[in-house]
Amino acid sequence: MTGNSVADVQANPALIQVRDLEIRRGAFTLRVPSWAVRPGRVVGLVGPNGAGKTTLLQHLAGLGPRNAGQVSVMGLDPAHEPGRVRSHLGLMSDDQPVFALRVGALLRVLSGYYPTWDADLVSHLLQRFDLDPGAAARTLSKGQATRLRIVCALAFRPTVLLLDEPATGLDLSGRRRLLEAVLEVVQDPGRSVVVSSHMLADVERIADELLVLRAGQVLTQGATLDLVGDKRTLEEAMLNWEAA
Amino acid sequence: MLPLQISQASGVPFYRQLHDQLAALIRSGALVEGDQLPSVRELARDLLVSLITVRRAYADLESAGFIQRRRGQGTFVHTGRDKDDPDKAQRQALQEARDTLTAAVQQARRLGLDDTEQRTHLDTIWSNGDTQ
Repeated sequence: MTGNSVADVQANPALIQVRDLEIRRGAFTLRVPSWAVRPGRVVGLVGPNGAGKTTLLQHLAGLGPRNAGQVSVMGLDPAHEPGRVRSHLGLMSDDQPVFALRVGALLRVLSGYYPTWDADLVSHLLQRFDLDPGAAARTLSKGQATRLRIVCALAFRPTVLLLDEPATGLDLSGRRRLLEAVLEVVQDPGRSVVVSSHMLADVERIADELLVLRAGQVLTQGATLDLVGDKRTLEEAMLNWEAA
Repeated sequence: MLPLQISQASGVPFYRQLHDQLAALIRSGALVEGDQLPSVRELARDLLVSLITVRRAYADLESAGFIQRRRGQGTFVHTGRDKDDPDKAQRQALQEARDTLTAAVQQARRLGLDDTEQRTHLDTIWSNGDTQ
């Protein structure tokens, strides 16, 4: 189970595959020439504001069109079959609205949309993230709302989990629980997580691979250990890449 | 649960910290021949580090002769310590230490340090506890 051999890659086709992707939004263009996420991996998506991280994640989740290129998520094109993609893909972003329901009721409503919804997992996650099912979702603090969005994204055991700035408003214990939850997803070697975050120390800690974007371009990509090296942190490496 | 602690502040890469701590547990005898180590995924989750970090630490431990990964079975402490002669590795290590001392004395003599000067220097080392 080294997961690195060529045979392994052939036996386990990538869960996400991107080739010559181009997405234009007004004056902004995102270009990703070649990128793949293999099963069992945690991939960190990093870069300054305006790099295109959210644009990429939203496209993978079937939430926006592209102008060119090929994209496959679990073998499906998210631009053509967003519904089928979304039934096995969890997207959590820090601007998702939480509705004027109680936490428990919100989760019950969502459970109706996902055949793989796991009620036992949800009650475990509510405990872990210290959420009260009786609380009104609207009255949650910023950090509590973030925790609730994480629970919603994990609740149906998605094959692909996309986390867009999942640490917004989280305190230290919340961040630890988030890291735990991400690493628990990849206990299953068939699932993968892509996480975009400005919390570089956290990303460096849990990401097997990185995709580094700036202003719509790929600055660098590959195994975290290779890109960052022994002599510096990801934060220091980022400063170098951005200066280059 | 193994007594392992990964520090973000130490400036030492995580895989290196993990390697050094596991190697120390094996050297000290806290982990012995045949003990099974956690899987890569379990250990990554418990320590909150990436899979690639644990994989790299295990790979380095294997090439340093501390552990053995057996396909389909898991990862085990394997120092190659002989069952019929469990002290062999210890004896070899002691002999290596003696050889190093002998070589140091020979070099000192070649360079003209007499035995009294060498003894004085050794006394300084011992009293300083400066043995690293």
